[in-house]
Amino acid sequence: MKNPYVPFPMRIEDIIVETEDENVKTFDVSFVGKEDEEQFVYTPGQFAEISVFGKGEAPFGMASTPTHPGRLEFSVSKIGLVTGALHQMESGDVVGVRGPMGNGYPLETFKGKNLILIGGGFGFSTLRSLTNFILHDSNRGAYGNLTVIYGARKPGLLLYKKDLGAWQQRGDLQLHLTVDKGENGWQGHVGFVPDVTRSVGPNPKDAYAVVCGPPAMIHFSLPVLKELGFQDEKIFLSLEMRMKCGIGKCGRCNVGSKYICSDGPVFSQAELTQLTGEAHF
Amino acid sequence: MFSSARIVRKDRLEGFLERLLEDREVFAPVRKGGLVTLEMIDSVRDVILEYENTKESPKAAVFPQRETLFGYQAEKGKVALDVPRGKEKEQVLFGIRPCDARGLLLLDRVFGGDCGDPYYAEKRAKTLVLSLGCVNPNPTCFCHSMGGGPCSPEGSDLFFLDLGDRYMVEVGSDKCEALLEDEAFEDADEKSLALSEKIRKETEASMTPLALNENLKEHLGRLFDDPAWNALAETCLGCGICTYLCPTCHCFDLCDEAAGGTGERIRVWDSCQFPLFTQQASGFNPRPTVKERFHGASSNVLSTWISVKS
Amino acid sequence: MDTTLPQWIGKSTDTSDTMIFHLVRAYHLAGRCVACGACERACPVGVDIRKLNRKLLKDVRDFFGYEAGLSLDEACPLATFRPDDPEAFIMNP
Repeated sequence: MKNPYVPFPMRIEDIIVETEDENVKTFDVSFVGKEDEEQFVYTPGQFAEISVFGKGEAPFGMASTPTHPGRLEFSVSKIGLVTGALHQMESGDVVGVRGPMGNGYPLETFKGKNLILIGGGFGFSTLRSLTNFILHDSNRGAYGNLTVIYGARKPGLLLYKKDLGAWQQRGDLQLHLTVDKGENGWQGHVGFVPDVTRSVGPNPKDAYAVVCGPPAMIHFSLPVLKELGFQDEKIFLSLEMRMKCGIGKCGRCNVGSKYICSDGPVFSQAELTQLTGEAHF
Repeated sequence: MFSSARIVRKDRLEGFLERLLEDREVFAPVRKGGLVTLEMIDSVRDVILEYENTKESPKAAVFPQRETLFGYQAEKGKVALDVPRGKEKEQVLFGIRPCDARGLLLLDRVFGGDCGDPYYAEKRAKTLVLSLGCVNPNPTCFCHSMGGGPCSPEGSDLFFLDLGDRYMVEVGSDKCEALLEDEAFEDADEKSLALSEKIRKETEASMTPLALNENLKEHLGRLFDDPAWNALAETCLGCGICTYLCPTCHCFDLCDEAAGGTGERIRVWDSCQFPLFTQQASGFNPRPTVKERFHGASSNVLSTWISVKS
Repeated sequence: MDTTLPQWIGKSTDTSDTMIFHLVRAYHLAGRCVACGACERACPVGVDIRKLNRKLLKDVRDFFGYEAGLSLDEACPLATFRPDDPEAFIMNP
């Protein structure tokens, strides 16, 4: 029986400081063991538990895409014990990884459909993974139109600036960036993500919307999508709860009859309205 | 009713237990500090079988309160991990009640499955459940309202029922083939079979069923915001003892106990009744007060378990 | 934002952790507990909490000549420092 509690080692190759306040860093890690690399088969939307030996473990969404093999990327916001320790680490250091975990985005359901990805702040991690996955040559043809709406509080807090620049050059997706508060040098849109969504006005026909971000953003985005005609079955969300085991055993992330770590973290809005009051935004 | 029933005369029981002790660990009810608890025995004389139930459930035998998952030694650029070895001997849970035996079946569902827990599986495989039916159930007992029963053999490898001067023994699994060869076991006769059936029926009839609503899940869902929860939650201390004692509660925490880069990843019991259980790094807590936590546990126990029947 | 930092006691069943828990409790109650018994009445598993507390009460009375709950003005001995505070128990455990 495979032991799902023991992590395998991964080496930090590169650390990218994403935000101007240096509170978010992306860790680019490589596999130490060949077997581990072969067994780690993941899809966008899944996550992994990262161990800092001596400190503890925490779950992070996959920011990398499986179309880029050999490496994994996690974006980490410095907020507590484990994330604080991670932020002190350097290239060459070793962390532990358990995963992949969770259900990931429903790629089969999305095939042939138009996709509207709506992300805010730090929640954009897994949407970046999904976007890069779809844009990859081997996948692009399988999906319809791709609209990405991404906002942060300020320009300096936007993640993955290199990716954003590359996406803006492409003709096979529509990228809408926005910030809550503009600054000198920012020539892009200023406004909240839900308002941008309303003005972009995506067509719900043959389309799915994926929303991932802070609760406030989700709370205000859902009515906009409803207004535009998106049914509950066509809206997907990636939820977060405090997690520990990541494999549906420790009970911590339980909401009603679901474990966010193993039944989720991706759920359709239709599934969420069936769960009891705790899951309502 | 299992077909291969046996009987064990009461004066033969001690001998049987003594032979079990020769090469197995045996846990049985003993009197300790004014309570009856399930303890590992080294003398058969400590065992008591006239009791209502042990204070704690037997879940610690397969799901210990503290368990080392692996040790590690981390230096710059590398880490060495080592997973502890499992149990050597078989362990016998003797004289536990049918409700506790059934609790283990529910834990099997949690720790089994596609992503099975090897630490649990290894201990569970080496565990023999020899339960003892209740002939004088506590007036507050309600196993029969939860799909169980005072004389239910469910979850037991061997199920003992007190017939007066002897025990009726029903065989629940083939894990006990070796045990049944012990000289204490004789074939069951018709009279014993009939008597055990009579005792079972009478005991079950003596228990008053709880007035549980049939559509509990639906009703509890509807009553999520009902103000009645306020009054109910006021009686709750939030101490978490309920989850400690409950045979099916299994929430746990994973944490590191380390000095520098050397340490262990351990698993310890945790409780959904503790405020930090669902506290998120951002400071937000979806269950911030006793009321939410009390409600969470109640609906979990009464409705969610039922809906996850597989 | 992590309210568990710094971690004062471990989460497991180690004797050292249980000891620290009880020491923290003892220091909270010494000189404050009046032995009303409410804690014991509330305890769902019948722990004889007052037995531990009575020992604290005895020590505080013997070392500091103080009993909680009798005076509104007198400061609690563990919250105050006097140069003549007894030290024998520190030097000779």
